[in-house]
Parts: sequence; C-alpha cells; structure tokens
Amino acid sequence: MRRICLFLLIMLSIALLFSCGSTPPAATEAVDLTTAKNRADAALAKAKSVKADVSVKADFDKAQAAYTEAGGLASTSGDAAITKYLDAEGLFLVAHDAAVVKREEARKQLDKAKSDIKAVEDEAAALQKEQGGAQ
Amino acid sequence: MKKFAGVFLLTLVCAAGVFAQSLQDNEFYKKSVEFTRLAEQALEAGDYDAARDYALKAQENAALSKNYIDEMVAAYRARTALNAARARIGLADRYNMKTRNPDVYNSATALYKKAEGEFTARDYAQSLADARQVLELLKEFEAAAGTAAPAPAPTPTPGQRISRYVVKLNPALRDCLWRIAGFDFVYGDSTKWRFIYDENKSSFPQPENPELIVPGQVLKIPSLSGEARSGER
Repeated sequence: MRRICLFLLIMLSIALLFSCGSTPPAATEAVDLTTAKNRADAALAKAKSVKADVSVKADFDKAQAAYTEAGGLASTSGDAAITKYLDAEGLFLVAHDAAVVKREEARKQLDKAKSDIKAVEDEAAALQKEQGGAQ
Repeated sequence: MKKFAGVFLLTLVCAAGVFAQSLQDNEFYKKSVEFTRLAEQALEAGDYDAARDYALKAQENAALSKNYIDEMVAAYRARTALNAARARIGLADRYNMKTRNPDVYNSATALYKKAEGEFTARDYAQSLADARQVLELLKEFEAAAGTAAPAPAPTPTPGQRISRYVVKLNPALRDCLWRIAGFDFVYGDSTKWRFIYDENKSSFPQPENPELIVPGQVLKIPSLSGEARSGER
C-alpha cells in the first residue's frame, strides 16, 4: 500500500513538473485604436512615397480596402477595427517593399541604357575624328 | 509632289549640315534616346514596369546603333583602302608594270575587282583585307605614290565636266548628292542629283538610302545628254 502511494506520488510530481515546464503565453501588446490607425497611416504614406499605388496597384488596393474597412468598423467594433488597421499596415508595407524592388530594377536598367548610349556617342565621336584626321 | 518633297528634304538636310555622315545620327540612336526619355517619364510617374521595359528597348537600340556605326566605319575604311589600291594600280600602269611583271599586275587587278565586288556586297571586312593585299602586291610603288605628282586625279579644266567625283569630308559643308549635282563640273543643277544616285546606288552603303555617302566614296557621274565627260575631282 505504501509503495503504491509512493509510486502515485512520484507520478503526480512528474506530471506537475511537466505541466509547469511550459512557459506561459506572452502577453499580447495592447494597441489602441488610435495607435493602430496611426501605424496604418504611416505605412500608407510610406507606400505612396514610392508610388506603390501605381507600380503595385493590386497590392496597394488590397491594403487600401483593409484600411477603408477598418475605418468603417471603428465606430461599431473597436477590436475588429484595430485588427483591420494592423492588417492594413502590414499590407501597405508589403506593397511598399514590392514597389521598391521594381523601382530599383527599373533604375538599374535605365542607368545601363544611358551608359550604352554614352558609349555609342563616344565611339562615334572618336571615329568621326579619325575620319576627319584621315582627310 | 513626292519628287518635290524628296528634293526639299534633301535641301533641308544639306543646308542643316546634319547629313548622315554624322555617325551617331541614325534611326537606332534616335530610338534609343527616345526610349530613354520614355523610361525616365515612366519612372517619375511610378510605372516601374513600363520604365524597365522602355529602358530595355533603349539598350537594344543602342546596340543596333553601335552595329550600324561599326558597319559605316568599316565601309569608310574599305572605301579608303580601295581608293588607295586603285591609285596604286594607276601608278603601276604608268610604270608599265603590266609588261614588266604581268603576274603580279594581273593578281593585283583581279584582287582589286574582287575587293570592289565585296564592297558592293557589303562585306567590308573582306574588301578592306583584299584592298590592303593589292597595296602590298604593288608595294614597290608606295614611295612613288608619296613623292610623285601622283596619279592625281586630273583636275578638270574650266568648262570640263568630270566623270567621277570623290566624296569629301568637310564638316562645314558636308557633301551630299544635292550639292554635288550643283557643282559646275558635274551638272550645275542640284535637282539632277537622282541621276547620280541611280548610277551609283548599288555601291552605296545602304542602296535604298541616297542620303548616306561616305568620304572617299567614288561616284560615277553619268552623261545626261551625250556631253563628253572625263577626269575626277
């Protein structure tokens, strides 16, 4: 009997030990509606600064839709509005990053085009000089 | 109307002095510049996909412009060498090489004809190589070419009409068919430029383009009304 009790006690201790071993969930950051909206506004401005509304219109429009929806929810459901504003923030930042990638690629190709044209001009000038000198 | 428009255009081109002898003044170069401008506009507007596509087209046209320039320069160099080879053959004739050394003379003249054919076929690299080979074959006349009153093209006497004209490079007044036809020793009438073009277009760098003639190019001046023509200028 004693042995059985002792065994049960040990098993219980082990079970308690493992249950206490898991870390408690982290407390979620508390974001109020104003902060969420401000973050979404900042992300919107950032996306527009790189003309994401033109270059990655589909992504931008998706973010814009979330932002507009958040605005609609603000008066009725604060929590839902906060979530939507945070979604919009994320989507605007995605649009921003995508636009930056496209812009850099376009700039790279434009710089190469200008460099190629300059090379043609320089070659033509040098050869023209040769022709003039040969006369 | 079409003829008038063509003549007017040629006048404008000659008057402006922006003839096609300016190597970079070709359609590909102009397109590359235009596409670059469009790319910059699109970039400014935020249409990065369009900006990239325009930039790639600009690069493509810049490459085509480079090829065009390379071809024109190759044509110029080949023509210059052909003129020198022809002059050297003239000297060889003067010194009676045909009798003294017929093998070399015949090889040189045959090679010269081959080089001319290659030029007409726009194989400028081979034409240049063969023309240089002619000069090498007739090397003994190299010194004579430098010292003697060379096989200088006989200068026309007043009133004489020439049968050949060598295109000059004068940046101030560029040669063009319109101007050449207007010379007293050619036709004295610029509107007759087309006769020169029709006679020579097969040897033009671009046969369909009467505006493109290169320095050193020899133009045959056909007789229009049975008038006697001789000499070169």
